[in-house]
Amino acid sequence: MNCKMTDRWTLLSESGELSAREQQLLDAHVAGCARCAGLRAETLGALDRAREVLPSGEPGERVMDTLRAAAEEGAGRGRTLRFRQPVVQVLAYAACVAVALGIWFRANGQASPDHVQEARAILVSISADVYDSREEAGAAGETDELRALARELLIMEGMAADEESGLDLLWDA
Amino acid sequence: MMAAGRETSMDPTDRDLLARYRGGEADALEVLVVRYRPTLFGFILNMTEGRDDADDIFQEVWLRAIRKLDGYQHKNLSGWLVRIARNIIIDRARRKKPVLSLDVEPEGGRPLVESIPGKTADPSVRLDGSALGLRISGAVAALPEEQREVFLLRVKADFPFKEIARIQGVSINTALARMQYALSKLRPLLAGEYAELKDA
Repeated sequence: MNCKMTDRWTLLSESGELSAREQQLLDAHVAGCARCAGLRAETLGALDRAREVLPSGEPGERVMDTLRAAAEEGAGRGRTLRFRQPVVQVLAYAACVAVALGIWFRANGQASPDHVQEARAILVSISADVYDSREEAGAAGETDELRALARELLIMEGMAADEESGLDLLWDA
Repeated sequence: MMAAGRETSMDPTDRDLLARYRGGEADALEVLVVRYRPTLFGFILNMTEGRDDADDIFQEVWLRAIRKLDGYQHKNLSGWLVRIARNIIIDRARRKKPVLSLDVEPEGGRPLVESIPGKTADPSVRLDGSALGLRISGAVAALPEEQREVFLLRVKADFPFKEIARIQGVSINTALARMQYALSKLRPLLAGEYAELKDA
């Protein structure tokens, strides 16, 4: 523990994120260093004052009424709608990829430019949705599976290397 | 440290309330809205330019959350709500395309930061030491976006730095550095203004 660390450790101490050992080290250092004691007091004081003077309030009753109505409408939906469960989700996405493949291969198994474009649009849409749901549901494993399916589709399409990089960019965005 | 507004050991947990809501109890959701109202609304109110904006964003956060609750599996509801709020605020800011910087000083006038729409115009918005508070509020509003966000997530939403870093997608050291920069700009103002407030 040294003077350079006081400011950050004071912030971490105030937010309850220092370990007991670190807290002891900070307290011991501040007890023997007038400059750091002043800095710590100033930082804690500034945070307290900001909490006192910055605006606070509550949303209007109109907002609460709207939310009550939305809550009434949505309550219980989870009993029947479990579409976003990971296993069902990946099956649904896989089905979408299959549809994309179907569109691509219709017309005697030959892909026309229109079909390719349509299949790509579906893939992009699925990818964006998977990205959103990965954020919400932590479905990283499912994402990998879908990614593999999508890559297979694009490889079958005979796409160029830069398009494959584009898929990576889309996925890792 | 638990963020203000989270449940105590006596209250039903977020998970319980969400399960009850999914089971058909609409009131369970209202408990959650009320639980996180002070911190979420406080954060939004200070990140936006007026009471009406804050109302709209708060409402939109919960409407989006309600739509997505079926698939919600996170353990940290308040962090998820703040992420939604943050996305809405960023989207709105992009659409607005600011014409002038807050630091620009018009000819013969005061910096724009001092003329930010009055957050105290609505009596339901509490601002202690109103005029002094408004100046400090203006100084917070003039901070660079990422610093202001860290500052408000800590001060108004009571989020730990670990969570703030996660929300911003940066390391905890970066979040701490942003807080330090924000404080270095606000500290003199907060010290001086507060002395005035106490003396008044």
